[in-house]
Amino acid sequence: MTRRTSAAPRGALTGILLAGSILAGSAASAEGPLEGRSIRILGIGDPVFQVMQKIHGQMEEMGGGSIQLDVRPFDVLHQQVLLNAQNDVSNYDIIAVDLPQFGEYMPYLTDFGPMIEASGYDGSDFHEVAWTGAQFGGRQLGIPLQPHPEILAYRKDVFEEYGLEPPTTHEALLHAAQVISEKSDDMSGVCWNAARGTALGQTFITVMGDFGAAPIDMEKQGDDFEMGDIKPENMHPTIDTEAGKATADYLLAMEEVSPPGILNMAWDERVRVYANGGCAMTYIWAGRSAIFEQDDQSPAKGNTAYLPHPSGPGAPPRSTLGGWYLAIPANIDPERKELAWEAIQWLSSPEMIELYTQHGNCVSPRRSVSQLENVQAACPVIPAVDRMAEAGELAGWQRPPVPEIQKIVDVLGAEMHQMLSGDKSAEDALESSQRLLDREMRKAGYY
Amino acid sequence: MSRNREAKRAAIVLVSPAMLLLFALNIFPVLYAVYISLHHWSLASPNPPRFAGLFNYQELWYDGRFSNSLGVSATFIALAVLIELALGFGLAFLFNRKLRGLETLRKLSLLPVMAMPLVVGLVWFYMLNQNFGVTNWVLSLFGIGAQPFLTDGTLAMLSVVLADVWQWTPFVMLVIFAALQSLPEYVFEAARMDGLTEREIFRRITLPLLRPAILVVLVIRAIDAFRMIELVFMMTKGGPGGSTEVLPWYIYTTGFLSLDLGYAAAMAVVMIVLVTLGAQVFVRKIADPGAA
Repeated sequence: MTRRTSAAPRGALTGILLAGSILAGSAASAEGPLEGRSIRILGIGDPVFQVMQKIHGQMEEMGGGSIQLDVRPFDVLHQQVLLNAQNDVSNYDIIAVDLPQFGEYMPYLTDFGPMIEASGYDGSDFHEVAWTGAQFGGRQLGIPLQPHPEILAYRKDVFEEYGLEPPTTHEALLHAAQVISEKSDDMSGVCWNAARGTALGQTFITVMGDFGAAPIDMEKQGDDFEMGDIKPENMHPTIDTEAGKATADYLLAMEEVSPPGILNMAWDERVRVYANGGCAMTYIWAGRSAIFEQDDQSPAKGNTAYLPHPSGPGAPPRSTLGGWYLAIPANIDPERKELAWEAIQWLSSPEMIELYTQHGNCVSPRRSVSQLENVQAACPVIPAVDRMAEAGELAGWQRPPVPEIQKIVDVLGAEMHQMLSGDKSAEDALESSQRLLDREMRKAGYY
Repeated sequence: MSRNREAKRAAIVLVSPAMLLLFALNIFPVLYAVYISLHHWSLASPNPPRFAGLFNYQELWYDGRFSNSLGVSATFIALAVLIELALGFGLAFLFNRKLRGLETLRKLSLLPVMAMPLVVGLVWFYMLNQNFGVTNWVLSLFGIGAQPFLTDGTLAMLSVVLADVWQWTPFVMLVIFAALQSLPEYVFEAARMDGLTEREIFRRITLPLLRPAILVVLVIRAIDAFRMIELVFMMTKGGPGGSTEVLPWYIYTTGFLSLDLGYAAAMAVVMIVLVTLGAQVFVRKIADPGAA
């Protein structure tokens, strides 16, 4: 009995101490942009979000609040963003948007313009092409987080050994690949995305961009195309054209100097084969270079140079810009909008971009971060991409931001694979791609 | 009379939860798929769905990729199920013998069935990969050059079949083994006393008695093989060309990558009809062995 009565005040004391320590803890952790609140992010399984998963605890501590980070594969994220857009109130405060998806998501995103103006946010530190890539009809729909181009990586040491020039054009690339394939026993010329579906479909349109052409009939603007205002009459497919034929021929020529199993090679596999010394060149999304640049065992580490996509005859070099932006859904609870904006400013701040690079995300959309010595040491690709950005060699029009972009990629990924497999001639593959896409555009009611 | 009515009412009450579940989980989704298939319905388009009548079904008629995927599915089912049946049958007879160590082996042989098909696909993808795969390395030890297991049309199909056979043969074996175990011993003793040879016993007694089990396993495996998508997803993405593009993979890319829900639903409805018709033939044979 006595015991019981004495236990009660002790329990109360423990409770008070515990509550005190929790409050003290939350007060301490509330020191950060999240101020003790919780932010809900829908992300993608790409390096930057994978880094966020890796350092989740550290980020919550730095942010002073909890971070609910849902990382999804590309197609699941795509569906989830569109389904979330149909809710009365969004389930997420921040969503990841791929550059070519802005066209599709435009009606479902919040314009950052008023928030940028009210907070005096300075976007001039971002590469201009990355910053303006998310501008549509005068509205800023995304803040760059991991925008990066698809470029060419090649082995400097191998090129020097065989006395080859840097492959800045298709012709030079094919020549170098031919020489290396013939002279080397265990190294092929070039690795690229030739697997059926999205991988090959994207290769086709990015290579078509090397010939200065886009997959739909967009309006020319100098060497580039007008992306901010694509009209229904611009939706005619332009696959069965001279540029399309040149693209198909180039892919067939590349197939000859590629490693075995190229028809099933995609994304990280091409980089890993390159990293292991299986090929002398690879097309690569710049951020993925961490796979070999941060691997001491790789013969490619420290021996790699970077170039924009090699160009076709008479066309200027243009590397396709892609990658991820942070956006706020238009149907966000108004009371959470300010929190989302605060969180985005923090997540895309120079300190955070630098932190991501140190954990394996070799992308910096901010000039100030690209200049840092530790960043350049961990990711030699970053200054190379910086130079391409300054030279105006990055562009996003190769993958026009229209709702049908995935259909275009899917059709090309299937038809061109038949061509590379020898089931169809280039002419037949181009003709059927054109016909199928024309049918799709008519079905969508553009013309 | 009133007792009859009461019994009927009780039956309705008892059956209705099951019927409700059946409607919610089976019938409603099918009806909804039919509804979607009659619309131009793209999740990627900001425009609301609009009625299309039979447009999506007409498109199927002209779609070479659709007819190709039907052919690929038929080839895959025929190859995979027949090989699984033959191997499963052989293994079941082997394990039915009372030999030492066979029981442990039989238990171990069931392991592939327990693996997730996606994992199975990934493992086979890496084993058969031309750049990293162990299979080509083993072949090279015998002086055989690297084989394009996943990038040659015929080999790619055989590779996917191989992965499916590896995973599902033990299941076929298990069903036939269980049926074998349940066969009455006295029938075989009587047959031997009547002077029948072992071959005659197999042909005239064992096979007819195993027929229901064979048909059941055939229906289950054929339906399962028709729905197979994981191996193609992990190993070939339907390539090279369209040589391994089975119907579910085409439906998946149309519905979940291109987000053309109307057209994907039309294909799914055709698939449901085909599966139901095919299954009906077998189910009728199981229920009535004398039926044509």
